[in-house]
Amino acid sequence: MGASYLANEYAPIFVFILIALGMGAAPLVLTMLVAEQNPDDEKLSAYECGFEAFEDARMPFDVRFYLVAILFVIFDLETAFLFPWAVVLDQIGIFGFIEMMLFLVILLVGYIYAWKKGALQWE
Amino acid sequence: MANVTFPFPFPANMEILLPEIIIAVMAMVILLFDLFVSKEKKQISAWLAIATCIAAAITTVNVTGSESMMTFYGFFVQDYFAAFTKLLMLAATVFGIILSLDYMKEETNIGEYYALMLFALLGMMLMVSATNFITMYLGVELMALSVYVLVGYQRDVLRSSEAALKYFILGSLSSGMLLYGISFLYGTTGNFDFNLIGEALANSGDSARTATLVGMLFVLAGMAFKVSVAPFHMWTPDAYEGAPTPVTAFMSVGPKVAGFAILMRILVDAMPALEHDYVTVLLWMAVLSLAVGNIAAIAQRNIKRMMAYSTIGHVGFVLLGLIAASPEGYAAILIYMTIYLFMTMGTFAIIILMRRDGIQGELLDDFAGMSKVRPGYALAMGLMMFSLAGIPFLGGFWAKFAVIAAVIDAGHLYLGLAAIMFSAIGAFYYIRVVKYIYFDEERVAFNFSDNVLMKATVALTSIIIVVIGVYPDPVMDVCRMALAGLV
Amino acid sequence: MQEVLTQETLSTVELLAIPVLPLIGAMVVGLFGWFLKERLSHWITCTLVIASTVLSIHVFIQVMGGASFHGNFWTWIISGDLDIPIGMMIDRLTTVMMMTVTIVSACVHIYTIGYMHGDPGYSRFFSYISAFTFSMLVLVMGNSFFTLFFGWEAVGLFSYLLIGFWYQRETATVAAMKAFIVNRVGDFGFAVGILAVWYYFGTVEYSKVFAAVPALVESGVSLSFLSWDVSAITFICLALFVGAMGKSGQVPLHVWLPDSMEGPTPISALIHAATMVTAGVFMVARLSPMFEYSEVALAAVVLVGATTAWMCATIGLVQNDIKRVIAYSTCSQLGYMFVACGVSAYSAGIFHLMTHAYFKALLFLAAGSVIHAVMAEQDIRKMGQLRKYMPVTYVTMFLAALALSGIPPFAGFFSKDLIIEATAVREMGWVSDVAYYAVISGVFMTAFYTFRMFFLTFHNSDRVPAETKAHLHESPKVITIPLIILAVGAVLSGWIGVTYLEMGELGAYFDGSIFVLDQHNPLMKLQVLEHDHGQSHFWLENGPLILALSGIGVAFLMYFRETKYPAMIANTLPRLHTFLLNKWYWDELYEKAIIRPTRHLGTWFWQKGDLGMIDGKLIHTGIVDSIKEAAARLRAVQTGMVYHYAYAMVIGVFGFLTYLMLNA
Repeated sequence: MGASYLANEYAPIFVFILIALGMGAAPLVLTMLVAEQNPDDEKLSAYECGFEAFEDARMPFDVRFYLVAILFVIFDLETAFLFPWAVVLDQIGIFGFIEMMLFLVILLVGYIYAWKKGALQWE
Repeated sequence: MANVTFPFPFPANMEILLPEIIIAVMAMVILLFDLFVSKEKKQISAWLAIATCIAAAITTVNVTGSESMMTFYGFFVQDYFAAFTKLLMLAATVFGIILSLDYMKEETNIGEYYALMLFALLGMMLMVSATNFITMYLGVELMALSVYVLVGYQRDVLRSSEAALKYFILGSLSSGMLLYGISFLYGTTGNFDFNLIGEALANSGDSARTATLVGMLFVLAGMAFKVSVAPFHMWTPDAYEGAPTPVTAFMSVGPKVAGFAILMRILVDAMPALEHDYVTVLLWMAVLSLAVGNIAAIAQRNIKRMMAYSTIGHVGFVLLGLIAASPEGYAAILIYMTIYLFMTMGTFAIIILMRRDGIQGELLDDFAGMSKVRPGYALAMGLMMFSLAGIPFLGGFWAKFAVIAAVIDAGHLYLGLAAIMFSAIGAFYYIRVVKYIYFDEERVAFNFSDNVLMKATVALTSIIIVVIGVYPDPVMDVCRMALAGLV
Repeated sequence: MQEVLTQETLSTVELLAIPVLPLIGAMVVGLFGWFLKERLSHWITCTLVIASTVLSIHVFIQVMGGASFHGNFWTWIISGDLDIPIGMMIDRLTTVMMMTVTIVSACVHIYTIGYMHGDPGYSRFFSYISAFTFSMLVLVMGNSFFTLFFGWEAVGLFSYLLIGFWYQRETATVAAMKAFIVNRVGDFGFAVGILAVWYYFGTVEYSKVFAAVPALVESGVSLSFLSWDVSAITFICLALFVGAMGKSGQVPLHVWLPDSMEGPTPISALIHAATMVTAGVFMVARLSPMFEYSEVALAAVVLVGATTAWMCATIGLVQNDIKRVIAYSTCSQLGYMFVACGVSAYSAGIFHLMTHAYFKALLFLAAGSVIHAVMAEQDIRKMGQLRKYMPVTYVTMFLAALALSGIPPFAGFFSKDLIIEATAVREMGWVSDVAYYAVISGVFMTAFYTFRMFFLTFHNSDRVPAETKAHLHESPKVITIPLIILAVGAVLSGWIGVTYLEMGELGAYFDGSIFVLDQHNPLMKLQVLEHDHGQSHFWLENGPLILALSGIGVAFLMYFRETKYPAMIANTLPRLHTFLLNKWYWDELYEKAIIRPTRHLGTWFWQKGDLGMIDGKLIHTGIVDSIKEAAARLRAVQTGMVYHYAYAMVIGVFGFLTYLMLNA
């Protein structure tokens, strides 16, 4: 093993890190370079999901934000799971297919539950 | 996992998953059922849940053979040991549901409640059938998350929410510890599978010993939290007190059985090479649990808190079986768990029956003078308390006898003596309850619930405790037989 | 698991049913008495006991025909070398006892229906006497020292419970305690004896022990106790005999028996006259293969028996409580039985046991009938002329008195005569001489005190208080019928015993169940004497009868009518009279020598040990308070703050980690 092992195994990750940094930095840099700048007070204030910035962090706020966030995470993870599955589907065969369908059915149950409970409606 | 063939063959022996599949499907069915029926019919979900448990129990018995069978490429095992502990957990769940029938009647979304119970059960069953840390962790988390929610089920009761939040935060911490430990063990052995880890540790000699010990300790600590071993017990009294009483009953048996079962598997399969080390750790945990459980309970006025400390004390006794690290010790754990199941369920059934308009019936004072009003319940409660205290000839005596005999046989004489001493101290607070029931004047009007199933539960558990106490051999034989898959 | 050693035609089910039936009755009535009420309570227990009686008689007849049973039913305890089976040994000795116990018990059961009617503890009483019957049957039917011990202790327990039956009365509870404690003294010796049996023989089964006795005697094993060498067999026999002294009310452990009369009268008849107190005699006879090999033990049995027979007879002369007179008579008659056993005339002892059971039970039940009639008055000075009111009681009691006095052809004559003759011919040096004079003078006293009591009760002058007189009446049928049944026994049992069972003959009835060495056997000598017509045996054969008749005669003169003789004698010999009236001052002696020092010791332990140590510094303020403090501290640790909890967990993990690393 040793240094060459490290370089070989972790090089893709390093590349990923670079790309991620680039993706984050690019919009900021590009807007500075390309877009017209016309700042005012509102535009300069930090964006906080519709809350006043610079207030006590312990103020209560609507639990529905959490609900939406959690639902988002769940379905987001579903997609994150589906991508690698799709890539290796030819290798894992019919068993892999059934497994994923079951997973989706279970998620569907959750979806129905959330829907029926009204978790998808803001009001 | 190195030589996997593609495409995956269909896993063999899938039928041994049938009990788990039944529970998973029915849990979801109940979840949806609750959404689509009118309020009057929601109570049906409880009966569905009971039926599910019974069906699962029958299939568990049917799919278990004398050989241990594996499925999912060795990730899931079904043997006598798993089957026996699963039956215990199923019984605990059925009792839990029966205890909930009246208690939860007024709650909304009752289907969710029973579905969560089934999910917790599913997690526990997954745990005891685990052959490796991945399956185990999956089970642990499914169980833990469901129980967090169950503890906080009464959202509008401040105490309940607070308990759930505390339990959740500390539970996350313990899960973190567990994962941390697993990662250490993976780091030193390159495996998740218990047996393979065991082989690797046996062959590794002293290399990476420190890392192995750290891994072992964190795994033990993580599991110790789940079964409320001191000093990881701090959540227990608060969670027990805050949770709805049926949930308290459920969580003081089910997760404990599952936790100890998987601990046995881990210690027997993965850590035989570390026996000396884990025994020294468990020894201190046992002494601490015995001390905390039996002494702190004396200062309690709330019977649910008292029962929480009682659980800690009993867990200390069960640890003796692990410390013995012998087939007798493991058999003693199963015996203990079996008897503990009935004692606890009986006790909580009576506590729940005590609930009446405006009074929770949770304070020790509420029991004063019960013998004059309801001699039957008073007698049952007396039996339960005497049994928990380990008075012969009731079931609890044999439970304690079995573990203490095993630990003394294994050469830990002083630990056995300490256990007996703490048992004597603990007898005080159990028998104090009897004193309240029989020798104090009635202070408040009693108004017992009239649920037939609850009464049957009280009667059944009392009879079982007495029968086991008088004639323990059959139960002990079954428990010894159940070890077949483990050792 | 049934291991039958010998069995000829006897049914095990039948044998088991005999003790179990009364036990079932006892349990049913004891547990559900509150529900069964009086009527069902006595129906259940009486039916079961009578069934048991019928079975006993059936077994008796079978055994007469030569059947016997010896076997184990199941193993009770196995602990190391100790193997305790539960089994039965049924032979002629056993069946005589079984029959006596069940018949008297059945009579007493029926009698109780009338006697205890209306008592708040009615069903409890039936439960106790049935349970007692069970225990007594276990005692006699068992085949090992362990069943003997079980029965022994169980009858002791029920004796205690029944003496203290009226627990609201202080005298009754005190008497019950006295009986229990005095019996503990005896039982201590008994237990030591059984342990010694196990130690020397390695088994507790009669047959195995008996078979091993000669070898033990041969080997000359002895043990040294306070520089006194005793052979093992003597030690065992003496220790066991201490138990017998306690249970059978022999001097100096007799003090509890008269006091036990505080219990209801049926109990006095059943337990403290007919059955339990004879357990000691039964034991000595049962263990004859052991006692025969110890001259010392036999001499001790004779001496104790003779002393008791004589001393208790003297006390009986002056007592005024009707039940106490009979109680002292019981002590005295038990002394006779022990003398018989001691002179190796075991069959005579058991014979007397049987006849005594009938007439003494009858005496007690008749006395109970009298007491019932005169509103629970027991003082014979406040009775008199009762024959007019209670003819049945009068007649039956008269028969019993004749039987007790030893007048032919009533039961006591045959058995007592046999004992006296056996004592006369047995040569044990001064021991048998003393015994002979004791028992022969006892005959006179027995006849005297029996008829003194009888005349004062039924004849003499009418001293019954006026308010009682209105209630005077004959007792109901349930009381008189048992009296009549027992009267038949009191009249006929001696004659039957001699004529049909040949209890007095050599090698006849008890052959095989009682063992006597030839050189000891007094019956053998009697037989020789009978055939030897060279000498006159007039006194030997007729002396007891003459003395008995003269005893009755003196009693007649003094008490048939109101005379001034009794007072005159008492005034002439005031010291002797007080001495006897105070029962030889045994109670006062024990009070001063044993009870008071024990009390002082107890008080000292209570003050210093209990109040000082346990309630004081050691336990209460020491251990208990520190545990309470620990509990309070642990409670304080439980703050309710999540970060404290997490902190505890983390500290715990790192504590263990440090510990592991340091120890690794």
